[in-house]
Amino acid sequence: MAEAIRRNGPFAACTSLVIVLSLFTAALALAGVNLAQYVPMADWASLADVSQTADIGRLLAWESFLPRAVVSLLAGAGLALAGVLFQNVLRNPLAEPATIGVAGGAQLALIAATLWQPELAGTLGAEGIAFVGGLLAVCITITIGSGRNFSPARLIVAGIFISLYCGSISGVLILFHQNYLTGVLLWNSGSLVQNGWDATGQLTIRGALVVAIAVLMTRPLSLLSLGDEAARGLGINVAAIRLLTLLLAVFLTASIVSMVGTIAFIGLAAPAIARAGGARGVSQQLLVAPLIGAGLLCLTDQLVQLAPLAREIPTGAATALFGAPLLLWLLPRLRATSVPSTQSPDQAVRNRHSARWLLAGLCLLLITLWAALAFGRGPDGWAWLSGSDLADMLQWRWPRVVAVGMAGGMLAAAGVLMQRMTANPLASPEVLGISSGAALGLIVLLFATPAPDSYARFLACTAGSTLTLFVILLSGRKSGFRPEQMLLVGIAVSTLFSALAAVLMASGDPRMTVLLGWMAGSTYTVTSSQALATAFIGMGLLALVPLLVRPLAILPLGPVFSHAIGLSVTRIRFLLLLLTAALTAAATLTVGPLTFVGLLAPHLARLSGFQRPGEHLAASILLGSSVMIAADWFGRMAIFPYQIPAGLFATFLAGPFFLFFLQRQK
Amino acid sequence: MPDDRKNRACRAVSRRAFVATLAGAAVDIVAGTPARAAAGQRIVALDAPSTEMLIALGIEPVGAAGLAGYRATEGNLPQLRRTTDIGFYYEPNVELLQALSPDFFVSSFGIGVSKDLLSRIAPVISVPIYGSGSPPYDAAIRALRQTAKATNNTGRADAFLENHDDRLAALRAKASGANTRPVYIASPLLDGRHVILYGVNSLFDEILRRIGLRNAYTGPTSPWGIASVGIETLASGGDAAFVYIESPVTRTALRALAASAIWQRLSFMREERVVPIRYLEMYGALPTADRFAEAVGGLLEKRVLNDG
Repeated sequence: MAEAIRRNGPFAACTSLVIVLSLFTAALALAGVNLAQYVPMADWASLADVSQTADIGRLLAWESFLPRAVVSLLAGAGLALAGVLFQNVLRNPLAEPATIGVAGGAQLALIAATLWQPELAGTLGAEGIAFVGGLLAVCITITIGSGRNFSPARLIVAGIFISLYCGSISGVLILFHQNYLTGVLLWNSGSLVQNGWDATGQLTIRGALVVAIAVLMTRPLSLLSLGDEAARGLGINVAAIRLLTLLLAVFLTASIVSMVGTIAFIGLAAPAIARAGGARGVSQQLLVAPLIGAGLLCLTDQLVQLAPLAREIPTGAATALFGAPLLLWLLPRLRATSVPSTQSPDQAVRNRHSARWLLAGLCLLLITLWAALAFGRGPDGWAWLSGSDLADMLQWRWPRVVAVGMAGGMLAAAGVLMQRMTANPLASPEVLGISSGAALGLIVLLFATPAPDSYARFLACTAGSTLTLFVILLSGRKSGFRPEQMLLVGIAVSTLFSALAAVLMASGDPRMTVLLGWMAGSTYTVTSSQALATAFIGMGLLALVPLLVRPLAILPLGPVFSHAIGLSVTRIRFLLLLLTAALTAAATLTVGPLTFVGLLAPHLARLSGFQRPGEHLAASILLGSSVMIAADWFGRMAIFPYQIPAGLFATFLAGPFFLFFLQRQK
Repeated sequence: MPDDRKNRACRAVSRRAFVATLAGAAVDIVAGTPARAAAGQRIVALDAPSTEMLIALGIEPVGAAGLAGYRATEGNLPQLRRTTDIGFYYEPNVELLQALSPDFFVSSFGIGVSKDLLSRIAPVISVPIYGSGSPPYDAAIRALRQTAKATNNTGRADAFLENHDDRLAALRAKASGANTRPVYIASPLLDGRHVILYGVNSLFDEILRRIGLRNAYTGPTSPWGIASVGIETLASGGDAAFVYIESPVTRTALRALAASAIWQRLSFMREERVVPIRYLEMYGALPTADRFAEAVGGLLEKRVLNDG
C-alpha cells in the first residue's frame, strides 16, 4: 500500500485540467483544419443556413462533418461515463461496456437481422435492432449472473461469457455469409460517419437523461465504494442501487453502440486516465472522465479524417491504435486505484473424492481422443473406421487432434495460473495479451504478403508474442509484477489487436478469411511437424506446472505470510508470468487467440468441486484438452463438408456446461 | 485517343499470345503431362471463379467449393447436378477430397488453401486472377485459356473469347456514338451510410474502360479492386450515374439510404439516375465479366447512361 500516496486536491485538479484542456485544444484545432477543407473560414458563420446547399462543400460540412464532430464528443463522453459507472458498480478496473455483453448482443442482432429479416431494418432501423440486441444480451447477463446482491464477480463472469457466446455465433455466421455482412462488419469496426443530425439529437436526449439520473446517484455510489456492509449500515439498498446504476450504464452504452458500433477503449482508458490524473472518488470521476473521453474520441476522429490514408480507417479502430500506447505509457503513473479490486470468487461446493473424479476425467479424455480419430463422416455417411481405412484417414486427423488437445491443456493450465495469481475471474491467458501479441504479428505479416506459408506465420506469431511479453515484463518490473498492471497491459494489446482485425475484416478483402479462420481457432492448416512440435513443447511446459502448486497455494494468503516462510513474491510472480506466457504462446500458434478455453476450463473445474491448486490444475488440463478435442471434432462433423473452427465451437460446447454449473451454485 | 486504344489492343493481343505460350509451358510443368480430357475426367474447382470457368467450358466438375452458396445465387445449374460440395474455398474438406480422388484441382483465388496439402491428393492447377500482380482482366483471360488447355477444351475457350470480344466491340461502338456519363459501380450496404465501390484493379472497372465508359470512382482500392466508402464520397461524382448490383440486402439498404440527408441531395438521386443490375459475383472470372458487359449493354440500350 506504500504506492498509494494520494495527490492533494489542488494539484490533482491541475493535472486533470491540463489533460482535458490539451485534448480539447488539439481536437478543436484539427477540427478547424478539417472544416477548412470543405468550406473556407470566411463562410463558417453562415453554415447553418441550410437553404444554400447547392455547394457540395457546404452540404457536406453541415450534414456530415459537423454532426460527426458533435457525435464524437457525445459518444466519447457517454462511453467514459458508462465506464465509470461500470467500474464502480462492478468494482473492477477492467470492467467496460464490452465486458457485459452489450456490443456482442448488438452485433449478433444486426447480423441475424441482415441475414434473415432485412425488412426489420426498415421499421426499426439498424440502430433499433442493435439497441434491442444489446439490451437483450445484458438482460440475459444479469439474469445469469445475479447472485446475492448482484455480486460483481458473478456478473462480470456472466458478462464475459455472453460476449463470447454472441461473438462465436456471430463468427460462424460471418464465416458463412461474408459478402452480405460487410455492412455489419463496417459498423462493428466503429464508424462515426454521419448523415445528418438525427443521431446527434438522439444521443443528446438520452445522454441528458442518463446524466441527470447519474448526478442524483452520485452520493449513493460514493457510499457503495466503501464496501457492501458499510454501505448497508448507512442505509443504502445495495442491490437496488447496483441494479439501477447498471441499467443506466447499459442504456447509455446500448444507445451509443447501436449508433456508432464498437469504439474500443474509451470506456476503459478515460476513467483510467482520470484516475491517473488524480480524480478521486466517484463524483470527481463522473465529472472528469466524460470530459477526457469526449476529448479523446474527438481528437482521434479528427486525426483520422486528416490523415491521407488509402482506406478509410474506422475511428473505433483508431482509438485502439492511440489508446493502447497511451495506456501503456500511463501505467507506471497509475496510482493504486480508488476502485477496490475484486473480492475473491464465490466459493463452490468442495469435492471430496477428487482423485476418483480425476481418474474419470482422464478416461474421458482418452475416449474423446479415440472417438475423434476413428469416428466421423465421409461421403457415404457416418462410420467407425478401423484397419486400413483408419490408417488412410489418420494422416489427416491425428495432427489436428493432437495439436488441439495439447493446446487446450496448455491454455487451461495457463488460465488456472492466471486466475489464481490475480484472484480476478476475468483473468485468462488471452486477456494477458500474449495471444493477441502473436495475432498482431500475424496481421502485420498479412499486410506485407497476402499468402504466407506456415513457417512465416510461425515466425511472425512467435515474434509478436515475444515482443508483447517483453513489454509486459518491462512495465511489470517496476511494480513488482502487480497483477492489475499485467492485466491492463494485456487488455491494451488485445484491444489493439481486435481493432486492427476489425479494420481488416471490414475491408472485405478475401485474404482476411485466412486471418478469420486462424483467429476463430481453425486447425485446418496444422501439419504433422507442427503437431509434434506442439506436443513436445506442451509436455515440457506442463511438466513444470506441478512445481508451482505449492507457491500457488501460499500466494493468496498475502505477501506478509509468503515472506515469512521465505517465498519471494516478486520472483514467484515473475516465474508464473513466464510460464503462463510460454504456455499461451505455444497454444495460440495452433488454435488462435480466441478460444477462451483458458477462461472457461478453470471455472468449470472449480465449479465441479476441484478447489485445491493441484487438483484444480489437473482437472482443468483434462477438461481443457477434452473440450478442445470434442470441439474440433464437432466442428468438422456438424455441417460436413463445411468446417466450423474448433475455437468457436469450444465456446459453444463449454457454454451450456458452464451455465449449468453456475446455476447450481445459487 | 483512338490510336492509343488500338495500339494497346494490338499489344494486348500479342501479349496474350506470348503469355499463353508461357502459361502452356507452366501448366505442363505443374500437371506433369498435358491432360487428356476424356469424358469423365474428374476435376474439382477450389473456388467460385474456377467453378464458373469450368461451367463456361462445358465441364461438369465432380466437386466445387462453396457450392451451397453458389447454387443459392446462380440457381440450380444442370452442370452442377451431380457435383459434390467440398466445403469453403479456404478450407476444402480433405477427407472428402481424398474419397473423391480427383484427377486435378483448379484454383484461381491464389489464397487460402495450401497447395502442398492438396498436392498430396492430386495436382493443383493454379490460375490466379486477383492479386497476381497483373491486371485482373488479362489474368482472367489467361486463366480461362490455361484451364481450357488443361482440360483439352481450347476450342470452346476460343469460341467464348471470340464472343466476348465481339460483344465488347459492339458496346464500344455504341458507347462512342452516345455522349456517356461517368458511372459508379456499387453495392450499397445495410447501414445506409456506406457503399462498396468497384474501382481500379477490379474486373468491372476494366470492362468499363474497354467499352469506353468512365468509372466515376477514381480513388484508392484494395488490391482486389473494391473500396468501402462513406456515401459523402459520392458527392464529388457530379453528373455520374449510379449503377448498383442487386443482392438480398439492397432493398433494405436503399431504404436506409433514402433516409439520409446527403443521399437525397446527391445529383444522381435528384435526377433519378439510379439503376440496378442483376446479381454478379464480387470476385468473378471472365464469364462474370462477360455478364457484366451484357448488363452494361442493356443499360446503354435504354439510354440510361447518356448525357442530356
